[in-house]
Amino acid sequence: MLTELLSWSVAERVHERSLEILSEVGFCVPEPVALDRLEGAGFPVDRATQMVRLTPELLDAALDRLPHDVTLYHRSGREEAGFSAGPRFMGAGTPVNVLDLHTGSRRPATRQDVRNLVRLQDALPQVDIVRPTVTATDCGEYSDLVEIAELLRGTGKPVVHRTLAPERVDAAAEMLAAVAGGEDAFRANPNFATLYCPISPGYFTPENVGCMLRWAEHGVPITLLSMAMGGASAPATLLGELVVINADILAWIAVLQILYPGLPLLYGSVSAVLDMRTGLLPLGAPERGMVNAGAAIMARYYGLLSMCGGLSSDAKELDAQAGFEKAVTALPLLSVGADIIYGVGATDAGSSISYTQMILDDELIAGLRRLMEGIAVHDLDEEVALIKEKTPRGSFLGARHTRRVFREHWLPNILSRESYETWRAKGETIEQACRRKASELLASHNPPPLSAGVEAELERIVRRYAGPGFHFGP
Amino acid sequence: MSDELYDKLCQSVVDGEPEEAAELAQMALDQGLDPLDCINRGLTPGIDRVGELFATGDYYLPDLIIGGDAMKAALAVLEPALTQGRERQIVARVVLGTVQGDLHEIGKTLVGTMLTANGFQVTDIGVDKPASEFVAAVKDSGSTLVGASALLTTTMLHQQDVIEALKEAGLRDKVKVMVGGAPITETWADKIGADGYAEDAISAVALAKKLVSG
Repeated sequence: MLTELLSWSVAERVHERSLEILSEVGFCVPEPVALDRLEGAGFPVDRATQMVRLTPELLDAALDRLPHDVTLYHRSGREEAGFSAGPRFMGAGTPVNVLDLHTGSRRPATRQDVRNLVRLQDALPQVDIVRPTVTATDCGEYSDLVEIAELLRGTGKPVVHRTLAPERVDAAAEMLAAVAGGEDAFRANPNFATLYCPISPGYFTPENVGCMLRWAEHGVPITLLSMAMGGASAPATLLGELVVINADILAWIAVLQILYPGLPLLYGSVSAVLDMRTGLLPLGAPERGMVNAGAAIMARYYGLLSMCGGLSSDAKELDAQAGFEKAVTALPLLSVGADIIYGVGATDAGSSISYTQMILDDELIAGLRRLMEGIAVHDLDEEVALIKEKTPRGSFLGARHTRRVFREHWLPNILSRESYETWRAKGETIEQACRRKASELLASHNPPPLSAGVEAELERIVRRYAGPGFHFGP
Repeated sequence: MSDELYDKLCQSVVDGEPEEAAELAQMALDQGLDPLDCINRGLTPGIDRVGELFATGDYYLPDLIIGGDAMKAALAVLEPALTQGRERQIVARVVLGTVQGDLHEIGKTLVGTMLTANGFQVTDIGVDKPASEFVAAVKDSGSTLVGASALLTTTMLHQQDVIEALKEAGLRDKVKVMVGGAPITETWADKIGADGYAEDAISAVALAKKLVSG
């Protein structure tokens, strides 16, 4: 059973074996200033190899400081993201390709795509957390700041993104403060979390180390997001891969909590297993849903919110494969209660974002959420009275009870349930329906606006890097 | 006696046993066998067999890599013993590396193994390498082919730097450049003026053969 995918005692074993690796071999921190600080904080550091070891005492101290009440808010700062209501679904990202809305062909994504896809995510009711989903390839080196600006302007929902260079973190944090009304207001009700991936096993790039430490200065929630590849950067068994995932995350939970006690952290995994025929990394495989569900359980073991890759697919178009893979990678995450499911809009093994897939994903999520409600158990008096009255051969269709309760049944908007003749007469495929709906939403949806003053402030901050030509435009 | 040893060398590659392959190679030299014969009659048929088994779906990437490692382990013993005029025939010399700012090496190393197994002389310069190091390695090794790898959307831009640096060094018309990595597409390869793109290590070998023969 998926719900028994990983028992508590097995989670404990993953924890203990992770600590064994971290205390005996350690992890690499290729950044001299960070090494100084870790040595000062009591971590055993080998200068020559840049390897840092984690002692059980340091880990205990770190876990004692780890906050367990981390949450994200909407941009308004008033409404919480709603983790207690079940999994939150988040946009995928951020590849350099998009499947064009009109032609369906793959092409490099632009800032206009970022803007459109942010707007779509803001409009779609099942999308809870918004990402740029694609890289603005027409914005060069500073695309990260442009994307963050577009996120903050284009949606009122919580948003997640990262910077690529430590020297741009302050500018990004300045934007967050501008939107929240000061850094203290942001820290009290953060609407933004960042994310960084290790190179498994046991390594973060100097840039990513620098970025994480800089974000930590601003108290911004950080997701430690493992991207392990079973059979390539981790053992090929799922449990062995989970140890790599967990060790990489646990190392940095310790680093960040020792250096920044109480810093909000999220536990993330977008891991997968290698396809041994091609060496490519399929994201629609059952193993992907399984290993990331394991990571969700490990997150809970530490009392952290989990962010897990799923609702993903290797399909190149909106087809049967996409439907199967989206479901098969989402269901394990749903069944273990993952907090954030990371995949809306993704296709082509995460190498492309698709407008039409994003629309269909919204529909699939609604169906999956209905599924997860399960059978509501309640007093049966009313139903039994009705059955007695209608037996034999009576109809329930006109009963007041039916009229009152049937709305809990899920009704799709895009999937076809009409008769063959009606479907034929309508003459619209699912893909065409998704394309039409995306176009309608892009034309009609207006995200909640920022004040003109805040918009101008964001433009001013981005211009410091991207040049005087940067402006939001209409 | 020698035929039996060639067969064993061949089998050590097919079975993917690097330690055994190196031991057998040393044994062959100790018995006075010609190292070139050991390569041509032992290792090469072995790696060809590995390739066939992969093509028929019986072997997978781990089998290919460990088979290639067995071949490399035996070559490391045999090649220094090759005598003048009896050298191993190579298809071409190739420089491989991951571009600046990018530390990913699994895909690049896999391509290197596959090229070595297919008769290329590979100079692997490693990861996070600026364009100037690609150029220097081409000069040092006399390579006619360069493979530049990038896994990140942020570092793929540096594949273009490699091509530009080869132009500046006056080498562009003497070497073919192939690019690869997860975010790379045919369109990108065309845009930056690369000679080819392959989506995985197997097609990289076919591409390399095409580029050096064309």
